[in-house]
Amino acid sequence: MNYPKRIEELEINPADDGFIIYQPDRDRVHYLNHTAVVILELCTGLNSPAEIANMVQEVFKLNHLPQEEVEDMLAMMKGEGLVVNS
Amino acid sequence: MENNNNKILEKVSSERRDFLKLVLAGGAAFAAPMMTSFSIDGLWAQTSSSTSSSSSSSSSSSSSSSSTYSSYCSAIKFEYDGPQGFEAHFSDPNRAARMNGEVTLTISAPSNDNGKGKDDDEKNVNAAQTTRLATVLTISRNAIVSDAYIAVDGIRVVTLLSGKGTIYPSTSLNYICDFTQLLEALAADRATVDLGRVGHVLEVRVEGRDQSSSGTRGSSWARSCRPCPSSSRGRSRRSSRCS
Repeated sequence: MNYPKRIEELEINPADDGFIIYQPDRDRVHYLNHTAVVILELCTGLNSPAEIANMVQEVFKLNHLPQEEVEDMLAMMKGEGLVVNS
Repeated sequence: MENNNNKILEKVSSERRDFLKLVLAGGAAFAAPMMTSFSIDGLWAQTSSSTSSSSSSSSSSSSSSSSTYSSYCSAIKFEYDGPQGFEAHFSDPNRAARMNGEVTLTISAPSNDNGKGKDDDEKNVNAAQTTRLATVLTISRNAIVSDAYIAVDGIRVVTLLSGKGTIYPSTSLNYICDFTQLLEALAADRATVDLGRVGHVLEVRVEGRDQSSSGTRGSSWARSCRPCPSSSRGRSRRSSRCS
């Protein structure tokens, strides 16, 4: 199964309404809002996307399971090299 | 939410726990996860969001030596008879890595031809509804800005660049009623551009010039931006021009 894992060497800096991540090796800068950062931090390599969606639902007390949102975000993060499959 | 947070925190390593605790402690409400990525030497701000909903904003191309962000913000009701374009130049003298840039505001209204054959009042109402404020923020190469605002008296009223890399629609003209008020504030030299950089916010006093003329660079908004006085707002819409 796919267990996303955030790469170790990310430098996450708080910004005004979210967080900024620098990836100097890729010459990339990423701006993430709070929800995206929570998802990123839950990418420990031990949580599946479904489990991450469940945790996001719990922490934000959502009525719906944000599975699609989480999976889409994980795909974007993988595309940008912020997470890898464990 | 405390119990939920504790359960979540147990799922991450101890090294990351404090950071996640900090993120969750803010009590931020749920928002669709969103990520904006761009190159440090970027030409474009590319927005990625997990939701299909998006603002009406767009990014635009830039020169090879800068990053440009642009968008539109629609005015709701707007009475203004001044120049239609402005530039504001700025720099960050306090940084070793110098940053230069400019903010361009373009006010556009539909041409008069759109209303051919219609009553003057109707034409003016339509014009008021479709007047737009287009803003372009350009920063020098290698300058990284997380967010940018026009602030009036220290209060941020217009977002030039947010996490979405776009300008908020006019509804987010917080604390300010309309564009006329915004222009009045600019004209009175009460506005700054706040540029968010990692660790600090750079406050830039806006000094602009009228694009439509060859005016001196650095002339003030007060010279180039002349909104209708407040007293003209209550006048008949038959004419939106100042007397």
